[in-house]
Amino acid sequence: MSGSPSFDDVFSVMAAASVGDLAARVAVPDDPWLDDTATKFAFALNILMDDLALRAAEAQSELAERKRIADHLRLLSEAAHEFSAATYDFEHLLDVVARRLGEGLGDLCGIRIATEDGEWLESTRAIYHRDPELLALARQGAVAERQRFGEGISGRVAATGDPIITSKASAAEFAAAAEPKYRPFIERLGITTSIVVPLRYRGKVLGVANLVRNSPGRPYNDDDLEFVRAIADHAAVAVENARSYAAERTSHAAAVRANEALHDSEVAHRLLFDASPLPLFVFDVETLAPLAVNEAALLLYGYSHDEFMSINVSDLAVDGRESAQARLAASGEEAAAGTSRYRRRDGSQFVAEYTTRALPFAGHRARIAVIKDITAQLMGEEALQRTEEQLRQAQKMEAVGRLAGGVAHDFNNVLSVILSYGDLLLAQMNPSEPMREEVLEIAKAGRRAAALTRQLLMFSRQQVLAPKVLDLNEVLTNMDKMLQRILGADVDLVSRLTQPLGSVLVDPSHIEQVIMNLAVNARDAMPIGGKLTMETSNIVLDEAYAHDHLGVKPGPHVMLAVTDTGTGMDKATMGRIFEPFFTTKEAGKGTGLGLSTVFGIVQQSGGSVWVYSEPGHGTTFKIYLPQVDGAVDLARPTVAPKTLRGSETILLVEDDEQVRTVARGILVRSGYHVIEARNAGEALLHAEKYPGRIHLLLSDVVMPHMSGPELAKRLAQGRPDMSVLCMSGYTDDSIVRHGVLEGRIAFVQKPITPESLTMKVREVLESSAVERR
Amino acid sequence: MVKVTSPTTEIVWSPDKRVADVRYTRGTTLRSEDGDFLVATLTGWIGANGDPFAVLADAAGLEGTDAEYRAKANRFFREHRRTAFIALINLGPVIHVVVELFRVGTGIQLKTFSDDPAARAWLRTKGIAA
Repeated sequence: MSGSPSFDDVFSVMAAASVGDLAARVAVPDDPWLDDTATKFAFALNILMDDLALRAAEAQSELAERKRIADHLRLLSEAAHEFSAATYDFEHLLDVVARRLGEGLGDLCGIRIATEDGEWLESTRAIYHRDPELLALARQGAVAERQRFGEGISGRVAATGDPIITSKASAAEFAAAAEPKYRPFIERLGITTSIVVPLRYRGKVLGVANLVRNSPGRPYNDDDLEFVRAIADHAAVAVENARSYAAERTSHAAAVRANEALHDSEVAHRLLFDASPLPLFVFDVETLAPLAVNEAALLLYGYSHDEFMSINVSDLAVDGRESAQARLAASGEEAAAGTSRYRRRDGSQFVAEYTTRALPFAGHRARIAVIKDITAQLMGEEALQRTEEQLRQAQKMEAVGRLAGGVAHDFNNVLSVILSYGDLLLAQMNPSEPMREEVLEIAKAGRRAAALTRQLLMFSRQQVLAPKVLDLNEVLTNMDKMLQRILGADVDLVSRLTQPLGSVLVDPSHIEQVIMNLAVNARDAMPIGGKLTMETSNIVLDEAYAHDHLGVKPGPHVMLAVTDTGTGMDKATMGRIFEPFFTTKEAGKGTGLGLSTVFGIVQQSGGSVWVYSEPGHGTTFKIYLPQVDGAVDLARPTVAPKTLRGSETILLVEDDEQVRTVARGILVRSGYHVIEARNAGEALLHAEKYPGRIHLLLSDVVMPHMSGPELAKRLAQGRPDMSVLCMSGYTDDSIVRHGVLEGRIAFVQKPITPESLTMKVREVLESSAVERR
Repeated sequence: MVKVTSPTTEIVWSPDKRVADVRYTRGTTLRSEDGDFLVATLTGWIGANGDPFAVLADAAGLEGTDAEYRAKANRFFREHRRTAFIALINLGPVIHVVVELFRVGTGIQLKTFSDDPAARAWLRTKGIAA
């Protein structure tokens, strides 16, 4: 026990306090009575010093708290800044959160993240410890398994959103309270305290942060928890942002990929659209304004791209906007198809099949149109129809021709008998003979029948021709007067003759017949007069023309056009005018063989004839004859035989008995010796047995088993000086094959008459006699 | 009446009189937690209406106070110095100095008495039905 303090003692303590020693006290008795002033002051001073020391301690504590708060705020700010910076990388952000919490509160921090369904926590690689060795240990010890919300400490924190602080006196005690799977890790690191805080954003737990402290020191307290929560709240915002950003980035990437895919798809479709050989365009249904067009369509319509895009689709249609819209309205919503006539930029038109289909396009109610130009196809079809019509016409004419030819052949044999006997009778009758007139009528009728038969043969192209190289201008010029007489005074004859004109190979008499027949037809078509134009020109018929006109061979031709200004014809009439016996003339005024003859002669001459006519606008016949090389044959005067009689030996071969009989009679009466045969076989036999000379073989052309020309060829081997004369009612391939038409074999046309036969026989015999000389 | 007791302190609150009778365990030195106990108890009783109340403390057995107790007690009574009346009896010399420093320092209406009736009489003069 000390004695009572003095004022010096009091002063010393005050002096010590003034220099910062707040621990100084005045020594006072343990049980002071405070009965002296110095002691009382000393005691009061000690109380004051106690209070000052407390205040100082409190101030120090407050300062430390402020510093702690400042540090926390700084850490929080830095953490928030770093979190923000790491927002673009979710994994990196979790590493930052773990590091910030570990650094801020030590020692170890790991982050677990909630699954999207909010039912599980998943471990992450975001674990921090400032000591690399312990960090490695912590990574090894981290249990990479999912933890269900509500289970274990972390699960409870995740489920409730409330943090949990756990502190134990030792690691062993801490481990004992923990789940078994964490115990080895806890004991190895020496963990004694932990905080588990939720990473919560707007009430939703995004994950949890597990902090454990293994270094010796105080356990986690509320201040630590406050700090951790603050950090965790910032971290949660960043995690949410990072998730959103990652999702957005994924979404964006997906959108970019989708856009790229869409772009690729659009490019592909654009390429298909642009490269399509089919003309395509897209147009707005409301305005009919074009929205897209491909190259093929531009080519078809003749517009540039800009021009096309500035027009209206209705401008393309010949029938205009209203019709186009009406078609669209009638077409419904999906697809429509049809045929329409369109107009190109240059005004030309074409026919096309269109197909349109509804197509949403760049926000428009649109349709895509596929256009197929079928003009050529239609023209082709028309040409085909024309050709088919021509073929049908040709086949019809061929059939009629064959019929006529066959009839004519038989007729010619019959007429040969009638005319020959008629002439023979007349030759034997006196002019006063009462029967003579009747016989004359028979002969006259026979000759008319022969003329008709000849015309039928001409039509059926089975007439024997004697073609020559001619200048048609000369033929027309020579016929001028005769034509004017035929046409009469009311019809003007106009000739437009091209000079020089190419040559043609035709039978002169037959081409004159053609011209005559056309002139007569023209005259009859102009009952009150008019104009007939004869026109010649050189023309080259090309492949296309030949393709469209049956029977025409391409190459240089001479055209003879005969045009009248008459009544013209309708199509039905034109379709039949070349048929034999078809006539528009009243009964008795026409045979119906005029144009048929024209047709047959021209066809047989290798040419073609076409007619152009409209009712009220006259008619034009155009005859095309192939041009030939070579000089025009000069007309040679035929020398008539001095006599029609002879004494030579003639081998007569004819399968028609009546013809054979009459021919034999004619020849015998004219002085000839006649060896008669019914066919080629008999002829060969007779020729073999006959010891004398046979001067002439007179043979029918068409016979069973062997034709006349073939027979002549066989006989010529043994009788090379024998002349040959063929006779026939019509020509056919056998005649052509054996050169009759080329003039190598003499020929007499049936029906024969005594005059025609004896004259021809004599002519042939004398010709051969001359050649032998 | 309501009575609460801590290891060092017993407080009996008479709500109708608004008087808290305080006694201390013998040999007690009041420390920080005793300050918390006192403040928390009185705060719950006196309410927030600003009505006058009194603390009649028998300091017999009280040997001292530490700085933290004093700081807490001082802070509480400074806040209620217009409505609080403190009457103390049986003070030893050390507690007496502490009380005097407290009274002068806070300006609170505090008076020490030799016995309980004198203390209550003074409180009644202040409008407290002690």
